[in-house]
Parts: sequence; C-alpha cells; structure tokens
Amino acid sequence: MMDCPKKETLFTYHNRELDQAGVVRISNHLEQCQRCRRVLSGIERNVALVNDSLDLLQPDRIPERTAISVTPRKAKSVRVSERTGLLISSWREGVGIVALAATLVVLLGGMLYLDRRQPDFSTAQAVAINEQQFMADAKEDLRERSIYLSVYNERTGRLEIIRSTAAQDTADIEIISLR
Amino acid sequence: MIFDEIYRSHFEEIYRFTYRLLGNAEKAEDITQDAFTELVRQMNGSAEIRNPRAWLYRVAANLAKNRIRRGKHYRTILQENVGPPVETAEPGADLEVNEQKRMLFRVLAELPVRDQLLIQLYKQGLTYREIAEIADIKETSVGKMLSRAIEKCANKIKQVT
Repeated sequence: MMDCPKKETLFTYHNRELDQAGVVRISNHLEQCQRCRRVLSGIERNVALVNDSLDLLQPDRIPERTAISVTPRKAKSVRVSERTGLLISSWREGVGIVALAATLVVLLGGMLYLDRRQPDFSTAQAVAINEQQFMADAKEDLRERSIYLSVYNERTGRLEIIRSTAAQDTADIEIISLR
Repeated sequence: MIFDEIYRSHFEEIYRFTYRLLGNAEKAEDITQDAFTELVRQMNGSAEIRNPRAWLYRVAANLAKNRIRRGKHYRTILQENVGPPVETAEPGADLEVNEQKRMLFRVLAELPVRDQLLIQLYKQGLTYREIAEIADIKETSVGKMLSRAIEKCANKIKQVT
C-alpha cells in the first residue's frame, strides 16, 4: 500500500482537481486505509461548513447595472479654460479632442486626488476612449492639489500639457502649453 | 465578446464575490463598478483580454484587498446594519440571521487576506488554474494554501457557533 497522502492531496482529490492517475492512486489507497477515509470525511465536513456559512452571506439585493461612465462620480462639472493662443486654435480645431482629454483628466484627477496614499508625485498611465487614441501620462502634485497630464494626440501628433485642479465636486482643467 | 454581454453575464457574480469579501454592499457595488469601468478602458485601448471573467475577478480582488488591507472595512462591518430584516414566520428569527451574518463576516475578517480571497474564489466555483491566475500564486500551490485556509476558517466558525 502506498504511503498515506498529505491532507492537501486529499483535499484536491475531493475537489476533483487531481489528474486521472492521481485519482486512481488515491481511490485505491482510500479503499484500504481507514485513517485516510476519516481525514477525507473531516475535509468534506469542513468544506460543507464553510460553504453553508458563506451561503448565508448573500447581499439583500443585487444592485441595478448602471451605464459605465468614464467620469468619476464626484466630478459633477468640468470647466475648461485656456491660456495660450496655440491652445485656442487647437481647441477650435478639435473640441471633441479636448473634451476627451478633459474627461481623461477628470478621471485621473478623481482617482489620484482621492487616493491619499500616493506620494507627492505619482504617475499614472491611461488610454482614452472613443474615436481618438490618446496616450496619457499624469503627474500629481498634492501640495498644489493639481494634476499635470501630458496627452499625446495621435491624430495631430501633438503633445498637450494639461493641468487639472480637482476638488470634490468639480475639476478645473487648464491647458498650459502645447507643442 | 462585446462588453455589454460580459457586463450582463458577470456583474452579479462579481458583485456577490466582492460583497462576501468586504461585507459591505456599498463598497462591493463601488468595486464591481470600478472593475467593469477598468474593463471598458482596457477593451477600448489596445489591450487584449483573453479571459474577461478571470480578469474581472483579478481586478475586483485587488481592489477589495486594498480596501481590506487599509483596514477601513473592519470597523464598517462591526457597525454596519447588514440589511433589512429577513421576513420569517418566527418572531426574532430575523435578528438571529443578521447577527449570524455579522458574526461570520467577523470570523472571515480575522483570517489573513490571502486566505479570505482564496476561500471566496473557491466558493465561486473557480478551478485551481483560475484561482492561481487571479490570486497570483502557482497552480501547484493552490491545493495546499486552500486546504489550510478552509481548515482555519472552519475551525474559527466552529469556535463561535
């Protein structure tokens, strides 16, 4: 008779996660070993106890699936202001692009601003949605409560540097340079 | 697979999973929503997700683990009213059910975070391979770790019941 298997092997046998050869080996052993049969019964009782207990931990209701939004829940409004002439021409060329960038800034702003575990400067990478593909790299300065975001617009090949100042309900976004 | 289909198919199971991990309906909803939001971003980007279900579990598990490790949830569990009373024919039985839920959440919260995660993934009916991928451990270690986690959990439940 083979040596008694380890408890975790019996547990894995119980879970039907052993390969065929393992199943045959353990089954043959169990036929001959009362001690292992007792161990297996104990495992089965423990699994049943844990399963039954976890069954009690059901939520009282399942929430409705809501539309997925890329704007954070706490950002209720966004104000975009501009400083440079270059920005204005770009902004007029592609309102949609700036709006997408703004969405991205707000998203990252919300994430970074609300997560106080970050050091003074932290970086994050994100890929924007919809028709324009952006590569974004954000830096956060908690001392100024600002987030600096460089957005690479693949369509125009331009890099836009954006500063976002996030508050609980709003995020002010300012494009401070464009090159 | 399109996002809507994934959302419809897996929302409930991810929510149940995070609820049992955190013991808090509101936080579970937040994390579930965050996991799906992250999936949208990934799917709209260039990332290829071969197994969205396992991916969602992994993201939700990491978000939940962060919450647990920050220790904020434990106090909430102790204070939380675990929901409206369950309707029963026997007076007082609803209170008993709620007290039992609170006690079980407390028992689970006393386990190491990794054990909590393994037990919940096991409860969801995931295979060893999936558990290994989600919990970021070797597949060959799942049986050993899970076996010990279940035993520890069962012993704690026996102590309080």
